[in-house]
Amino acid sequence: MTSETGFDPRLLERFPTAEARPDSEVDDLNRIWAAPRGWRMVTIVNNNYVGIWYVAAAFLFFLLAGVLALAIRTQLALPLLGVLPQETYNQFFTMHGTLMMFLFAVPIMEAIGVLLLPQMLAARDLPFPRLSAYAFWAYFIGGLCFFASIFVGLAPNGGWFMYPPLTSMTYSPGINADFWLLGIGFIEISAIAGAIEILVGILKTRAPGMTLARMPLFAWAMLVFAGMILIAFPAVILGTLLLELERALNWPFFDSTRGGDPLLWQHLFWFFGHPEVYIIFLPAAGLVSMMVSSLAKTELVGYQLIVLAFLATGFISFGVWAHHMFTTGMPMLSVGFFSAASMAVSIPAGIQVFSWIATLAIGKPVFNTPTLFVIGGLVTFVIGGLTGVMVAMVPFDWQVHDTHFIVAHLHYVLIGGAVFPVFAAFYYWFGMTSRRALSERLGKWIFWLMFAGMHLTFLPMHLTGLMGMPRRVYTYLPGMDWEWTNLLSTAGAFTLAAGVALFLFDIARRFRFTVEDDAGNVYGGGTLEWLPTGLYSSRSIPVVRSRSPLWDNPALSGEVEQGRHFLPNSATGLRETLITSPIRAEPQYLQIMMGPSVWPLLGAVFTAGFFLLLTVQAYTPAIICLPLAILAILRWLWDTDRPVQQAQVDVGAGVMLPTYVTGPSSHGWWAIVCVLVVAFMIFLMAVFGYLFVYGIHPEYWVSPGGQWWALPIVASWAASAVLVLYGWRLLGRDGSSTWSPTAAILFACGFAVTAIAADWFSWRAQGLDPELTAQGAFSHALLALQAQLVAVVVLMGGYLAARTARGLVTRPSNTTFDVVSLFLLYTAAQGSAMALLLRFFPGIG
Amino acid sequence: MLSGLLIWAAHFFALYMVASLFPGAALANGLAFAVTVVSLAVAGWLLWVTTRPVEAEPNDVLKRWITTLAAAGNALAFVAIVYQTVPTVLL
Repeated sequence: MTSETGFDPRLLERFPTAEARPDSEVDDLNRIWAAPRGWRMVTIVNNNYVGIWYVAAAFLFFLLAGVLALAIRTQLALPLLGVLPQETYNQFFTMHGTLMMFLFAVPIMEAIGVLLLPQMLAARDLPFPRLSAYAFWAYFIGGLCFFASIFVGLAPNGGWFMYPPLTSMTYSPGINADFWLLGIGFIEISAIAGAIEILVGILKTRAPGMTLARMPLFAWAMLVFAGMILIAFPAVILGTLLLELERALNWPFFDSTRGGDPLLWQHLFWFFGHPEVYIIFLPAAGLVSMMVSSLAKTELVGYQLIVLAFLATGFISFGVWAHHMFTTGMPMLSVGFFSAASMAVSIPAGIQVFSWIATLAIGKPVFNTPTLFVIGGLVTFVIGGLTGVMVAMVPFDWQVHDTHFIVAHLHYVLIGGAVFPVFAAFYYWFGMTSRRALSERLGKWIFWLMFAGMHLTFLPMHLTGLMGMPRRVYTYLPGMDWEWTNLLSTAGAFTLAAGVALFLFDIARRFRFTVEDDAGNVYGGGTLEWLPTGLYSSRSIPVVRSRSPLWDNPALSGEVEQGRHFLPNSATGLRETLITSPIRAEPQYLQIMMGPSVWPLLGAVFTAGFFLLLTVQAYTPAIICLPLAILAILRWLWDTDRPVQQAQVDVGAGVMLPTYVTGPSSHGWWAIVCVLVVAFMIFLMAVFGYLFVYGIHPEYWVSPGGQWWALPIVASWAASAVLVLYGWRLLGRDGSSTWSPTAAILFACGFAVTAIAADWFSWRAQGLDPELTAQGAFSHALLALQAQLVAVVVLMGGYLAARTARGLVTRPSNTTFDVVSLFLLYTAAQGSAMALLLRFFPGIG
Repeated sequence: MLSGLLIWAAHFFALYMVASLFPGAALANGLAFAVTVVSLAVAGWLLWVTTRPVEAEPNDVLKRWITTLAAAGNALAFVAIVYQTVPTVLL
């Protein structure tokens, strides 16, 4: 039999074991995984709690954005209404879009992932529970503060995509735009933290035997989702950083009078913004794929094709960003390529839709509430998809660009593709976290109100747009034939809101949070999240032999409860989970997991404080918050990466696994690689921007002199990298006398500081003023970016030294050492590439 | 598993670069056509590799599943690359 890791697959045949395990082991698990009570609940990191808080917070932002939408629709109900003044209207529609896209749509998918994935994969928790808690708190605190800006008239007002030059200092002199730039930049960092957690969790904590071919489709969707976030979100982080630098320091990245270009913002924003649509849609598609099979009581048609469709969507979604820019005067051939790609993206979406229809057709669906939401979502999404193909056709797009037709299209896609599936998921998985299920009778009322309201709002809006009504206008004149369609849209919005209000009422009536005595598997799902669970997830971790293990082996729940599968107890007396291989899910080692801690919360509070205080120009408290945030995060990390006394433990049926592993097999390695992918994408986007503005305005550029400086700079980076490799080698030895591995890393940090100092000062000597031209601005921004990496490297070096002094850096290998080394190697590579780029492009002076 | 999709992505970005570097020039169409020929050759070769019969362990269901997925991705990439190049003929 084939093995991925050397693990003997025949060992899996020992499960289920013949006899049940003692009940005292369950008591141990309950004790070890117990959640703190009272005010200490804020220190909880367990996914059952953090997941439900996360979902609730995202839903709160959905409601707040919905209230803003009602105000917008009230203002537009009739011509020349004065419900909202013009400036307030601008703030409301900007906030509505921003909340829905950044604070509801993406976070709700991450939240559902944090809540469902550990149980679905039969892991005890996701691999970095404190990171989940940090991501949640950062998002929640940051989101609330961001929203609060609307109460003091400081909310952003430049549209959810914040195009310059409207958002430049000239046209938006207040701090409204800064709230968006710093707030959203910060919230996106939290989204990336969540994505890393989810990606590593799916690849490394699946139950033994859950190969890629047996993975639940929601996990597949979340895997692609997390990968897309790592690639797409750095673009908007860089964009917000550059625009904030332009506003704060007058560096002209987007100012065409000084060699910048406002279209660069559009490229950066939409390179993130269009994949974001699929980032939202794919998890919803994963949820639908799982629900449709249970609701129709049959296996899903075309599992493998859906996986292909997820992957293809993930790839092609990065090739359609410029279809938001068809009216900007791009070269016609480019426009043609993006138009073709935009039409092609409907093929993988079509595969999924036909698969769901086929599953419903061959199964025996009962038209209960989740089924109605699934079918309603399907119908709505298909209509949105069809108008999507219409606007992919360039001449048509020219006609309807920036009209209400586009507003209607995007709401059909997002409500059909994400909101209705999420509501279906609320009904379907509600029994997992609540003692009582939601009401079916009310559920049908809720569905029909929402479905009718949605179509009443947005179907006439297509017509409003075709009749020429532009987006983002706070009122219109009578006699333009827009009155009736607008009035219908407003009536529809309130009907939709009535459905949501009824849902809230039912939630308040029925929701009673629990982990153990929940309402259970109301709709008869066949996947592992329906095993009996506690805060430790399932009592033992089952061997998976099919895609619907509970359907194929009805005795599985009992076996798992009796502890007849993997890890029926706590082998080390600590919180732990099985780490498995990414393809075949072969057991590799036992991960020791972190328990409750206040440090992720404090880290989030101070990080949010830093960004938000900067926004309101309270520089001193902001500067105090930064070291506090760093200290809180380092303190939380200090508890991690501790080898336990037992080098190997029995994880059930005599299968022995190590308790500490480093290198590419370890979850820490995967996480740092994800971080480096993000860093690389930020650098790549910065290089793209550098080349882009040169291509548009070469007349502002000069060929720099002092090329010889590249030699000592690159040599310093090379020395840093060599020392890292030498340190690694030293760590592998039993002992070393002259040099210690950490000393090598510290010297490597010293070379990194030397390299960036040489780069910075030699470049400054060129006399390129960052305020005068885009070349000066970009080169300084690239240097600042590299300096940031070096600052992190120095911090890491100090942290490693402190751990070494405490005897926590173990030989022959150590995860913290690996993480610091990989980061240093990447920093050296990026530093070398940047030094060469700045000095040899655009030519030698 | 992702080979075909990667070729498709590389082809797309190559076309974007060609169109951006030589806006409005006939050279852009020629280069785009050349990039397409190379990409199709690679995608075709990958398709052949993933569909030819090989001596695999008969019970290795996962390997077969991954190979089938890769073959479907390669086939999709082949068609998509052709389709993506149509604008060079039309414009």
